[in-house]
Amino acid sequence: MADGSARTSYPRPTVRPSPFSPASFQAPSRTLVVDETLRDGLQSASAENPPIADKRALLHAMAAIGVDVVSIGLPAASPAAVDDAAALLREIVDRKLPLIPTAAARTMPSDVSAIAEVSQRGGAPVEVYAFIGSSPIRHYTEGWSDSFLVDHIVATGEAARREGLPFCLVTEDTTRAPPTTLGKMWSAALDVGATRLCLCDTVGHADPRGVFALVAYARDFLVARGASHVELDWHGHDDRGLALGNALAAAITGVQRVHGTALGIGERSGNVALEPLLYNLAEIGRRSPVALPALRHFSDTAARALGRKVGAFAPLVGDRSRELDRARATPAVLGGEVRAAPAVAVAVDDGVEERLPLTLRLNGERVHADVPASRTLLELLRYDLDHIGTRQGCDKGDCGACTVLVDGEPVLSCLTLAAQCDGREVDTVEGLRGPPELDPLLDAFDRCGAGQCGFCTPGMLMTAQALLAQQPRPTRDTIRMAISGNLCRCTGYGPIVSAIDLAAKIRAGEEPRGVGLPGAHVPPPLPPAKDRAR
Amino acid sequence: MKPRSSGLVGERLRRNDLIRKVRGEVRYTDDLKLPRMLHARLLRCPHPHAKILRIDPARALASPEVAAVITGKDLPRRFGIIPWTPDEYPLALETARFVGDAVAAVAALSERAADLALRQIEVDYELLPSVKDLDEAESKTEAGLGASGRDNVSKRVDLAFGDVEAALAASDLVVEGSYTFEGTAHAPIEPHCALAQYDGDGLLTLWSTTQVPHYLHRELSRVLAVSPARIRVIQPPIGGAFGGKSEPFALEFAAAKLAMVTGRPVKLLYTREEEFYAHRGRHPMAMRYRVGARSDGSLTAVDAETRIDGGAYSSFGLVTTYYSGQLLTLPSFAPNYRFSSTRYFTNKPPCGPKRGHGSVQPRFAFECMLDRVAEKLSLDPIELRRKNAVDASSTVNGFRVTSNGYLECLARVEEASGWKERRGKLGRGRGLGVASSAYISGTNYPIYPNEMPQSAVQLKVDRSGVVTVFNGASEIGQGTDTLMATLVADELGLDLGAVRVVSADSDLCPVDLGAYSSRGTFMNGNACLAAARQIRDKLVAAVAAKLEVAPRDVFVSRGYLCAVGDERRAISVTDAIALAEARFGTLGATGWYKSPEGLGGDYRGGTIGASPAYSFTAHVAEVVVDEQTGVVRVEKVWCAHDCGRALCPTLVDGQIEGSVYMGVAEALLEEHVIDGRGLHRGPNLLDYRIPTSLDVPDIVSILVESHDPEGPLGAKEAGEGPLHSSIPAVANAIYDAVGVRLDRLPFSPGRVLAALREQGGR
Repeated sequence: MADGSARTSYPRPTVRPSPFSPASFQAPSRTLVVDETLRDGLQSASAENPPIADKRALLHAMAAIGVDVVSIGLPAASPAAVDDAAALLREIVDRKLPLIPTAAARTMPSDVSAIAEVSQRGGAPVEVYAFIGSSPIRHYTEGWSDSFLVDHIVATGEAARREGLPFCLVTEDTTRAPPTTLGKMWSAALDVGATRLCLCDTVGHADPRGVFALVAYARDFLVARGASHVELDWHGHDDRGLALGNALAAAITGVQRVHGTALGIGERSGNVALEPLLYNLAEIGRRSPVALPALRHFSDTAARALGRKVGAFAPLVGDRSRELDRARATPAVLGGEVRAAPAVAVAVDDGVEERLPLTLRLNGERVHADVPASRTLLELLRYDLDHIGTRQGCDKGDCGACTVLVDGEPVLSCLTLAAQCDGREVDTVEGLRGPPELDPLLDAFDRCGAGQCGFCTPGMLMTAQALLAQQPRPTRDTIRMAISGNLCRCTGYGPIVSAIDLAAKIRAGEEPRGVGLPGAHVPPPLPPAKDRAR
Repeated sequence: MKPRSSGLVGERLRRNDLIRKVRGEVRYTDDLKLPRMLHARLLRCPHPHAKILRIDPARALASPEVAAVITGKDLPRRFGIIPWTPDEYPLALETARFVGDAVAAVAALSERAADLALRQIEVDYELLPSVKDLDEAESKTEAGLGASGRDNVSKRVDLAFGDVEAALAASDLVVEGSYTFEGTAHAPIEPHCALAQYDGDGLLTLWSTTQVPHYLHRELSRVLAVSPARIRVIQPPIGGAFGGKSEPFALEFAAAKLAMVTGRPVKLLYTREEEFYAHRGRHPMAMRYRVGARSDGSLTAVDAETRIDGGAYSSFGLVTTYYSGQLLTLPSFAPNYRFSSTRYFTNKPPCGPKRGHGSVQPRFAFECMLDRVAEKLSLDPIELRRKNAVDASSTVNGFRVTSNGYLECLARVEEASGWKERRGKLGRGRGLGVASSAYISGTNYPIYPNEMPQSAVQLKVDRSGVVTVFNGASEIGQGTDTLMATLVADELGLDLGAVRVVSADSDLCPVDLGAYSSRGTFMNGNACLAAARQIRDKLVAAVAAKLEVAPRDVFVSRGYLCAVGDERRAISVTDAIALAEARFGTLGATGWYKSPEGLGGDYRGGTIGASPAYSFTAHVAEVVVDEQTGVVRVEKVWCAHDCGRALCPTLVDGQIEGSVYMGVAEALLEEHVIDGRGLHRGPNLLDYRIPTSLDVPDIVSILVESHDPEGPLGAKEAGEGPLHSSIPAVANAIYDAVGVRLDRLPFSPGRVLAALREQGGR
């Protein structure tokens, strides 16, 4: 179906003394960092809304690593969200935390009112980050006209002005929006006194070259409008594994604030992870260095609050990095995000798909492959390596049928590039032992009737495998939570929860293996042939 | 080894296919890969109603990666699952009738190349007036979507039994109500996929994710103008269907034609987005009911008027229209009944059967009405249902009932839920609701009229001790393969590991009509038993001769055939097979099932909804309603289901739990909304909210066994019945919790809050 997904090309800036810095523009010397964990991060399907005490602890951890700006939520979501945001604001004010508070709003005056209430209750101004869909597909789907958007922006901006709150217009999908639409939306925002514009790549679709062009275009727009005082934000997602590179590109091109979340948590593949972002901004001279212990404390606090765990291979803050530090007493940058992303970026950037050689360990065996840069891990497994146990259900990260383990962590192979798995260990359902020593998970799923059509089951098994590796005896509630990213349409999930529970017991030796497997009454083997050589 | 006399039927056995399916050892359709295979994609119309003026594939064909492009002109023959209403072309010929109607197909070296080629095909459309909903379908007759071209009517059914007006006039109480059911999607985790091969012998083989391979075989022959003798249809394991794969689709014809044009295998896999446009979801319905009762609680009459939004094509619509009225007359009903159902065409994705075809929507409306009748008469809703339980052997619309475990179902959920002690005493915000239903065990008549069997199996007996069941039925996850193996193993004393099942391959297996209308257990089970018993008789005769006893003195146990009274005189099944083969020659048998003649009412349409047996269900749901947010949480559902006899209890539980899950999802979450421009509101599994493991209630499945005299060992259906009354049970529980009646599905927080506000305002 026509979805308007052809790439938008931005007019190139006319004056470019250096590739990314027009003469009229003074790039900021320091890039501010915005922590979106408590807002955008909570949109992750597997994130839990933490209790307020955990959110407070996270604020302090942010302050300790030098985060400048924090989103305290989307107050209009519910009365409870207002309470939480007000409590967080109170904490910032009372404890004099050096954090600039912001809150998200839909581009509607009523959402601004909710932020105003938070501001009143917390006793400090809160910047309004009003978001609105800006892609052609969204406009087409919702039936929005340009004038409809402009009206909403104006009404919302005026509401913010009445309440005395700074106003930032967040165009949700800036990288896919036509420049003409952006121009109308930005103009409307400037007319009602917006102090900042937030450029977004909420589908993780841009590469650094696009970010350079977009930021330059926005800056030129502001200069042309005589609005150089208006600042820019960058907010980008990681669907192509380019979020970090894009955020650095935005910082180099001169946006004042870049957004990120703890551990990169967020929808689908997530946002920019703040940890490597802070580290690398320091590396390129945009910020002062951050102490690794504080950074790790921040990650641990966030993981605890959100019911996540820090991935073993997470750059800087994962166990592997910490172990190496201990071994070498020097910081080490490890992990695929930092390593694999540039290679993929270069390959895609050329326009022609480059083939990338890679080596991974698949179910314990070394496998070499040579794949196009855009090949997903799912395609590599199913179509190139004939590991068809891993299934494609939705191809967009919604169903979990393609879940496999990468270095022991469950990942959606449809959203993971094959190239990202170079040098890693990939485990699929084919790695679960068959008879006679049937794997306890297979044994239990079979015995409990935990699979009917069997299509979601491989993904479910791999999630269960990761869970049991982490928690040998999970409660039923923990199991339910763990498999909540794997959709099943047949069973109603009850037998699946029972099966994982049973598998844990079989592994612990509390339940026997292989109960009720057929075979007790199959005929015996034929007798050996007579030895005629004798 | 000492023989044991226990059978396999009724034991909690494992499936015979799961481990192989999940370890990637058998291939689902998209797992198949043939040498030189091409990949195909469909070009779909972006307009709700448009005339196709021109299609120019030249730019697409210019690509070296594109092998072929076909359009409607290449497949100019109509098809339709119901023989009386063939109104579809595989690729729209002159007009496209919904956003998503296929207009062309491309085969290319890769899926990506096919996808790119779609954008190179130029199509000129002339937009036509379109119809977006039921109201427009009634008023905007100029759109002319109906067969006559003068209105938008797809099918109209008016049937009356008894004198409804007189009975209502004589009633102490008449309750009226209107109910709306927006459509829902099947959303199987496996998308539709077809793979076609046209080989050097001119034989066309089609692998497809279909639950009706036989009907597909026939329609392929018609549309492609190829002899059915030159077509083979194979249905690999299916990753969920729920009715969404029960008729031929554009992808099957397109893949087949492209394979014939290119001489290379062609695979066509739907994207998840296409699933939501092309899958034939549950029909939206707008229903008005009047129900009369006497003050003692006995129902006097039911009057129903139903408008059905059929979408762009007929599909199963003729049957849907009948089912919307015909399947309501069990288990609690009135002696007078009238229904008027009209299915309209609209310019939206066509609707078809989903688990509980045509009857889930009216069941929601009617069971909510019963709750209101009980309330007005100050009766316990379970008592009201008991009082009106149909205990005759024939319903008001003339359906024969051979077994009925309804009252036991009611009693079991009443007891298990603590209904008497707890209902009305749980405090505001928490409530219990009851509802009940009945469903068919297969439709009594095939879709195309014929006198041949509806289900069949062939058994092949190997002297190694293996029996292979060549089985026409479609394994779609419900477990028919396991059921067939269990029946055969049970009859012949075999281990489950010694029975193989080969299913749904038109070259290897006898004809079965498919996995729809909950017919598998009843019809295929009977066919399988008939075949297995012929083999059993031969084994018994051979063993009787060997042991020198009368055949009636031989019994079959696990692994052995023994002399009655002296179990030490036993011969293993394998040896018995050898004896029988020596005595009777090579062993094999066919078994089939054909439903009884003359079932159904003696009036036009009286056979639609007639079944050889009916299942019965009662649900009690416990809900918690958050009055601040409007969020309804279903905490627990007790479901008692009369399946006749649970041949494989784990499978029956699975069907009950899966049905309740799906019903509760339709009650709270799922809504298949097509907007005014014909676009789906969220054609993906994030926006179309199917439940996660955190969204499901605790489900208590209670098996009731009424032993149907004609069912295989007494069994009836379990796959669809247990969905129906789960939805009204939730609705009635919400009323018990907070006192609001919800008449529109799903019961989303916004709707619940609006109802609560209205209640507060009164």
